[in-house]
Amino acid sequence: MGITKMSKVGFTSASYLKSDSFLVGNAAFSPSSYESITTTTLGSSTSSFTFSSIPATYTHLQIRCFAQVVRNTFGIASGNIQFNSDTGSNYSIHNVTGIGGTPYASGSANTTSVVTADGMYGTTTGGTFGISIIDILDYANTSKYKTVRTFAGTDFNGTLGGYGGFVGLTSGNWRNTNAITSITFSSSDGNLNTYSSFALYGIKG
Amino acid sequence: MTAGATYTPIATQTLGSAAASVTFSSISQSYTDLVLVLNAGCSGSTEQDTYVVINGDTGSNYSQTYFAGDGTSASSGRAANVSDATIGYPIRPTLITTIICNFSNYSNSTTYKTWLSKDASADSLVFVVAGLWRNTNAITSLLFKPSNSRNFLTGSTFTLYGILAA
Repeated sequence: MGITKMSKVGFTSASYLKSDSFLVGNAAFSPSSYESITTTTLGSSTSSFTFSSIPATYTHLQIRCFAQVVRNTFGIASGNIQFNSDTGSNYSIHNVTGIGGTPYASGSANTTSVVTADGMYGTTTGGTFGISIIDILDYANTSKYKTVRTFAGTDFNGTLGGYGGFVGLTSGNWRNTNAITSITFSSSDGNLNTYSSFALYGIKG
Repeated sequence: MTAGATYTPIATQTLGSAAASVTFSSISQSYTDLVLVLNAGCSGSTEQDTYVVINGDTGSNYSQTYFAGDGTSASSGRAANVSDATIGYPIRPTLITTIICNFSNYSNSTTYKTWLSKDASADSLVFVVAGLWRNTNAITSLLFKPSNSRNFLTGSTFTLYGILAA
């Protein structure tokens, strides 16, 4: 009779640790709630990039971006995020931002995307790539509006066009109860550049 | 579509005695991003920065832009062409600071390396910083130290995680 199901029920936690690879030929059981779903590194410059057909099997999503925009004069570029191809005025945002001088905070209602302030991306002029870490909690829930938070930063060793690097936090809201099945990234400051990478992770509850 | 679990602990160091620095060397190149989780205090009587030295480079090849809030006001600043690369401020003699620092695409040999770090120091400051190392080499070692030759306190912990993108 073949084994059709394995369960840790009945083991104490100590004995379970000793037994997690006891089936010959099986990999050790290594539970984790943080999984890589998919990653794209752009092979050419493009106006936008979309994660589509996102599985609803996780509780939260995290996107880790390492990206650059084709832009003249300045070393930082803003980011725009849209869900499920919704281009309507159904988003709102708040930002708190440090740009090397006086910090500032801003907010906008009824925007057509989640706008991640000025520095989600580095630029071709600055020569660097920006990091952004984006969390979307309860993305598959169909009862709640969706909230997104971003932590982003770029530095390029000095100033360009009168502006230096950027580091900041954004909260965004999408007034829609649909599960998020696609996420589109773009920048109102230019095209996303070659080698920009977008990595999507799922976190189980 | 999924590639499975990731966010893997690479190494952990818990100080059994005070130390001027902590180094992770021979870092595996098998991941996409690195995440340092630091929980530490330092010696002395004043608040210090926490610095990173990448691949032993002590030259003026770093820069950073930071943003902080102290409960009353917010501030921001930048530094270019510096050898002191900050991932957090402040670290204190008696209060423990927590830093989570992300090094993205650390193993590629095409781009300069960037980090993005958050520091929460109890009863003092919230601090975030974006930093740059102007070098395209893959990161193979990371050294962390308090500024002004202070020591990390006994019991300070440093864990380095690797995240592998699909």
